[in-house]
Amino acid sequence: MLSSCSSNAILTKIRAILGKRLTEADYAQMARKNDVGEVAALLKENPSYAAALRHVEESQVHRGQLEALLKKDLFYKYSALRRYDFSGQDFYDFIFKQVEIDEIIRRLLLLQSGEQVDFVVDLPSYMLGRTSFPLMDLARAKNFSEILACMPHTPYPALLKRFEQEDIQQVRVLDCEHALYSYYYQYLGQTIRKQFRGETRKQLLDIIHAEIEAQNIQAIFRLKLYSNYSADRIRPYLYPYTYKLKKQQLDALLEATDFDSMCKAFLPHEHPPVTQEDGIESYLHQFCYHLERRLLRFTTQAPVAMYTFITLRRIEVENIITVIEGVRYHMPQEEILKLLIL
Amino acid sequence: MSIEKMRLVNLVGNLSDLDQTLLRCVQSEVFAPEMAINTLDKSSGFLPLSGENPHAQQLKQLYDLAEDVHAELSRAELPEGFDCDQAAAEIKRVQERVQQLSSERREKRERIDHMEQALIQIEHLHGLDVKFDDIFSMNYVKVRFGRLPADSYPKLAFYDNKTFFFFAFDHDDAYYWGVYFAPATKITVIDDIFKSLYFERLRVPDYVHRTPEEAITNLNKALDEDRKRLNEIEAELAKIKESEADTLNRCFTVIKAASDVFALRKYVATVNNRFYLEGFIPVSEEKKFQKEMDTMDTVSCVFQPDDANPTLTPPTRLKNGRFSKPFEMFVGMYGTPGYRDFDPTLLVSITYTLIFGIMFGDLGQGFVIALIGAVLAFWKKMDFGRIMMRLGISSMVFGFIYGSVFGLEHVLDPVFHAMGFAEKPIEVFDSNTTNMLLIAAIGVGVCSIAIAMMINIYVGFKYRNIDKAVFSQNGLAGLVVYLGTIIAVALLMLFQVNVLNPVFIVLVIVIPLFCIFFREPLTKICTRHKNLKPEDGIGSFIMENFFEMFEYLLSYVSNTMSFLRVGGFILSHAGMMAVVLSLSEMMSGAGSVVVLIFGNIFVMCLEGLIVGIQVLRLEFYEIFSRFYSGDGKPYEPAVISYRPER
Repeated sequence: MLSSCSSNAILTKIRAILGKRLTEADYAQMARKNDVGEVAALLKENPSYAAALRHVEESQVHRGQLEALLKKDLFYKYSALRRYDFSGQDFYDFIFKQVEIDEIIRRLLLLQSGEQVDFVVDLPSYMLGRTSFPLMDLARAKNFSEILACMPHTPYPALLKRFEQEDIQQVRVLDCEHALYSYYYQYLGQTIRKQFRGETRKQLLDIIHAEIEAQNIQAIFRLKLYSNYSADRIRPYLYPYTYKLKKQQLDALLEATDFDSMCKAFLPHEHPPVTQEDGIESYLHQFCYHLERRLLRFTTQAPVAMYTFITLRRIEVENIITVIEGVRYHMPQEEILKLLIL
Repeated sequence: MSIEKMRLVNLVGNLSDLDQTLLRCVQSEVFAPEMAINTLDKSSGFLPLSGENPHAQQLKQLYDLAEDVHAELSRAELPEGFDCDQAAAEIKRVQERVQQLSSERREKRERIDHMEQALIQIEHLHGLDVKFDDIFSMNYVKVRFGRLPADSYPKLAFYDNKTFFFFAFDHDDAYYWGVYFAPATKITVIDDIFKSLYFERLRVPDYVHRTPEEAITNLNKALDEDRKRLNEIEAELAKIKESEADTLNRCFTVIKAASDVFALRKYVATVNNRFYLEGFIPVSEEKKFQKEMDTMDTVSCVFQPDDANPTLTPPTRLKNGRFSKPFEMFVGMYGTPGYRDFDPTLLVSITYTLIFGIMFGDLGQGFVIALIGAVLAFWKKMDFGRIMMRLGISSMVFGFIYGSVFGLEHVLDPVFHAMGFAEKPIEVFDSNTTNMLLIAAIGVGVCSIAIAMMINIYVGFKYRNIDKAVFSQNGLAGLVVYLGTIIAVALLMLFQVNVLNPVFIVLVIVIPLFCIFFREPLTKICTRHKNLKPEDGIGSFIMENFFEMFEYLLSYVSNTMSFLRVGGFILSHAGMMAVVLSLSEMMSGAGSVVVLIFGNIFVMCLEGLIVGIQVLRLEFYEIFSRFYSGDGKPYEPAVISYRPER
């Protein structure tokens, strides 16, 4: 009874927040602005972001700061919604796992690039003390073994140990990323199968498989077109889950040689135009976005609503960041709008 | 009560005549353009017309200028020969007048903004009991005042090994206000660290020499001077606005028209230096449009039937009488009717007005609603005001029947006596009347639902959709079951006549229900479909239809009962007003009148809103859902928008 009430509360709250989401007209208005400060001023007027940005001083705000505030707001919204969950299910912890994995990958990349910017600068401080290992220790780690040492009692050292190299430049981050995300998707799938039944399980697995499939397709395009990888070299980097893609389509995609034939291998007959200039990413993001939006609109299951809400809100934040970047580099409004996931 | 017939218009001409053609189309105010390129055979060489709007930059300048002088742009009368070039020259002239003042204003605002920020920050330094001069005179240690975001504060722990100290004087949930000290030799590195953590440095102005308290006084003085100058600039700009408003509006009128006409080029397809444009116009406007186009000899204008191009869906323009016209707003909320569909506006206008009046019957309150509606309609030109006028009058009519004026139930008794009645026609609080009201409410519901079903049958037959017209739960079969059952029950309960004999049951209930259950195969038989087997197997078909049938029967009952709220609100309205009157009687003198007035206002606002929403709910859920899909395309002719915003 309590669990069903909490479920309804989460759904209602999510729909209320979504009611205030940014529209295409809002983005267009933002894209017309001349600098980041003006965008911040506009966002401050929006009921969805007014509270998060109330202390921002438009004339002094920095792009990175604004991004950090938006991401923090997303986390606080998640925390506020989580308070209504009395089921005790740890499925909702997916957000922490994701942050942990992303931060480990970011740390590795920064170390490889010679740490031009301190890792700590972009560290989400609202996550300090909430993750399964201290993020500040990760920030202090100076090589691969220190990274592994700073997260004892977590599954990550076991996953990464086989990639350890004394020279950080020798570490293949792509392999590390694949290992970490393979674990993440496996964890997510197991948690969903353990904790949910029926419609909830089906909808959650559907959406996660759709996301993974999009990731796989994106990986194939990138590895094939930019790194000239062969089909056999690409296969180990694919996650073993599919949504709609059939085995023959996947094989055809892997064997295809250019952008157009790759698109032909998996895109449905009637699809919006996809050009090599725009890349496949835009199409895949749009596909997942619309799928999740539709699911969120019709679902009556709180976990599905929560998962899709977090994803959609993250996309909204990414859209805002895209607009801010565009405004900062004085891109024309139409060009900025083309880059958004709407 | 209909949907206006449309004509498909094809316009073909030389590219040199395009601008003039587009202008005529816009001036006609009836031409709804379609994307020509989407319907043409691309292999014939048709291309979309590209090119940047040459008026966009001028328009932007004009908007900026209007913003600078706080003017609201609007349409103005144009003098003879005033064109875009002249407008550009005028904009340039006004810009020159405004530019210097505008940039000075921007500078002043930035300075004031900065000083206000400085003031806020220095106010947070109250805890610093040291003179600024002493701090800034240090040679080997550099000092920076400012604020650090609260998120960045815990990150300072990462820099334990760096040579700096950060002292926080004050903090709130967003910032830590304080100062950091670092050796002069390391200051660049330390500054970079703090900058990366979004430390906002407070530049203590040169004239701040003493303690923070004295600095605040000095800053306030400087701020006052700057604000005074800012006010002077604003006054000068206001003068410019006054003298140049007409010029700006004239420029706006001419440039906006040129820009909007140019924007229509996206609908145009071109081939071999010829343009091709197509769109819809209402049949009633054909002559007017033809006349407009006849003046251009080189442009061919061909009128075709609305279904000449099967890839195009004609837009829907509703055509309603004066009474029902404002209710198009409610229909639009649900969705525009399809071009060949039934326009439910008249039905909505009658049922909405009637049911609202029944539920909110009060002569006095109805008058107030009608009055407010008239003000909104004639002053603010709001469609909703017109709806309120109709609802108010309906409420007055039923209020008169109930004998209720601002909740006073017996004020009209002398009128009824004079009319020859012993008492008012309907006494809401009489227990016999209550039952009658509830039964009447059900009657209203039955009529509404039956009408909605009949419309569904009509639309079904019109589209030759046998499933919709005959076998569906809202088709002929559904209507027979629904009305048959209601009539049988009514005869039995009201007149003790039992018609439920086996023949009646088989003909009116069993056969129609059989039709609804087997609607899918029956439809296939009627349409001469060969494969009668259900797609998902017979078991699934029976299960699915069994539950659907159960839901249909349940919905017939629940949808009819839903109309009980009509009777319920009559009682609730009378009840609420009785409470207001009781409260009013408990007060004495002016207090009693005040309670009566505010009670009436409260009931009008609360109940008026609730009744309005409830009736709309009945319309949408109980009536519209039976026949209306609302998937039409609204008729949006190309016009020039003179709205002041960008």
